[in-house]
Amino acid sequence: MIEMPRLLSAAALTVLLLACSPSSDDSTVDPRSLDWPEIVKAARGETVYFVMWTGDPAINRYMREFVVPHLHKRHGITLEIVPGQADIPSMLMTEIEAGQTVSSMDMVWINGQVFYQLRQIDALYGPFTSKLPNDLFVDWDNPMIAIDFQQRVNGYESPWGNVQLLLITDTERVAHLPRTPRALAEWIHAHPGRFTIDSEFTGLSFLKSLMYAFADSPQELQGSFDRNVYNKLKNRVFEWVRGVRADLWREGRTFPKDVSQLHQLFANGEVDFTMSFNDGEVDNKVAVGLFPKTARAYALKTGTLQNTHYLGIVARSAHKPAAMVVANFLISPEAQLEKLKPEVWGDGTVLAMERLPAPWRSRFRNVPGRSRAPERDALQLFARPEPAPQYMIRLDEDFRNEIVRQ
Amino acid sequence: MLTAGAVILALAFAGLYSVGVLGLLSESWTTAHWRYVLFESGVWSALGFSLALTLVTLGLATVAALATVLIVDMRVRRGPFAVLVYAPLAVPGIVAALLSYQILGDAGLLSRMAHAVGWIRSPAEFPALVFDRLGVGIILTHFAMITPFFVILFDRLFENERVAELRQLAYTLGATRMQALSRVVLPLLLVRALPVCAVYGVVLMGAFEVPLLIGARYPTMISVEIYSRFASYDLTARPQAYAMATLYLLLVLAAWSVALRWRPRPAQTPR
Repeated sequence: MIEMPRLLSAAALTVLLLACSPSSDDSTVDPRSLDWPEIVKAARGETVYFVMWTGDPAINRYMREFVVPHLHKRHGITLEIVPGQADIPSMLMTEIEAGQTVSSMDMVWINGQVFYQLRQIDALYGPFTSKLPNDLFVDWDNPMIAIDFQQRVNGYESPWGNVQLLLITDTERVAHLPRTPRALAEWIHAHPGRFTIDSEFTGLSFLKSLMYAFADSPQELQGSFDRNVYNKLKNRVFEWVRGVRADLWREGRTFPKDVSQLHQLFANGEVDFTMSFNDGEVDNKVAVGLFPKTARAYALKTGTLQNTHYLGIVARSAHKPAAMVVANFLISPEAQLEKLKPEVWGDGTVLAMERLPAPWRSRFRNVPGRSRAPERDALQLFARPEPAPQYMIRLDEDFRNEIVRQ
Repeated sequence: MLTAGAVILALAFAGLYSVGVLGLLSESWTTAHWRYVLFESGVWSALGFSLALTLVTLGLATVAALATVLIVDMRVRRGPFAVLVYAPLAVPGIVAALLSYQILGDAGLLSRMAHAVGWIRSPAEFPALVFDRLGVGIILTHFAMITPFFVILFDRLFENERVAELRQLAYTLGATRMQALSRVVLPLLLVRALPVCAVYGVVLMGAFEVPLLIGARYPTMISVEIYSRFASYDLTARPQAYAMATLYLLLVLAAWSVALRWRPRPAQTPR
């Protein structure tokens, strides 16, 4: 019989050995040393595991019916979609800690603060974007594309779509759109129980947009994290939330878990507002019949966040050439145009129109306009860049402690 | 031995991670994460909430199962009625949670029925049964999931312990219906069922899918609290998740060892 202390020591030692085992990437040739035709050749017959948020049926359909067949037909690549998103850093961190030399994932959809987190644990492969032929068309001059949460992208992620946070309401139920935090607070008081925010990414992004509204100047939120600025603006935002809380859905005693649940409440007629971090989503949700035809999306005059979502290749991926081919296809004019169509996804393009060949330029300009959200040019006036990721990390913690738990 | 080894290994890993000895982003040995968990986090309210929900669910399931076994005739209990009663046993937690949402939610079946008969004017007037701070939805879902098992348990005990004969004997000796129930039937069934109830209690305490899907954002059950720390935006908060998991595991093991030592008082033999 093994004595307990000895068993414990053995267990601890095993754990330590596991944790300290080498974690270097042992995959063969670095595709950056290859020419593009060689990369395409190496990619043929490979399977790419792509971890992405699968919470929207329209996006899933775009991937399943457009992207997957094209990649298979043209490049012989099998694209496997794996559900996940906010937990990607956590999953990769676990793999690295377990000493796994080859990751179970090859590509990841990077949104929000995930880029910062993945760079923090050195989990991304790169720089690789300049190797992609279609990178020439990307609008890298746009700071909202070249900078992700105040951090330069530097070739470690390829932009996929550019979006802005908008409030969505039903004009049948809300005749005069409240366009400032003050007007919104007045509307909430006049219509108890008909407004709420979710307690995850989109809701927190709305609160960050309010930070801009309550800032002395938008410049305050630029650059690296400033604790004093954060505390000042967080207090102002929470003061607004506390002011309206009693008149929120369920008297503000609980909040929807995520934006899908908020959409559901809006679709069921339980609340009069939802929101989306995709300015084209309202048309899509109306097209699929989830939102009423009278739904409209709009930005607060005080500004709402605009950001870009990206594609990253995992440092320990065993299929980097194939992942690069997938990333290149996803920023091709063809794939970006399809994605832009409101009935498909309605996701803003990351391509610069002036860099596209003339026929493509006209195709992009002739995409049937969205009818329930302002045009992107009009929204640009109200677009605010994402502040440093620590604002999100701290706000998440403080919102939970100071609002949700009170 | 294999199971015990796995538990010890997990405990050692979680313990070392929680004090910064392991972990990709840990810098050095620290007690900061434990201090946060013990004094600042919501771990105690999560543990209290989990315990309260577990006790209420177990209590309701026990009462309902006992009532079924004592009131419904055995031939009915084991006939076609059984299929209906035992069906929830085949429903996984995640499906049960979604069904509860469809039935108990603001725009769910009950709300619509209440609206149809004119009891409420809008869905908002329907009482909050899911995502509620009292955990009513979680309790009802777990109650529906475990009660059939308790019916089976008491049904078998009723037969194996020859409760019907002993109850009859009590009547013969002059006991009233209430006396036979409180001094013969219930003690016999409850004492025998206690170990199984304790095991179910541990399972319910650690339930994850149901509280995750239909629980409020606060208070949360312990497993959801641990997970939210684990998947936090702040990757440096991960040791806090391991500290919570270690604390929870130690508390359950301590309670378990106390429960194992406890033996029901032997019945006094008549002199």
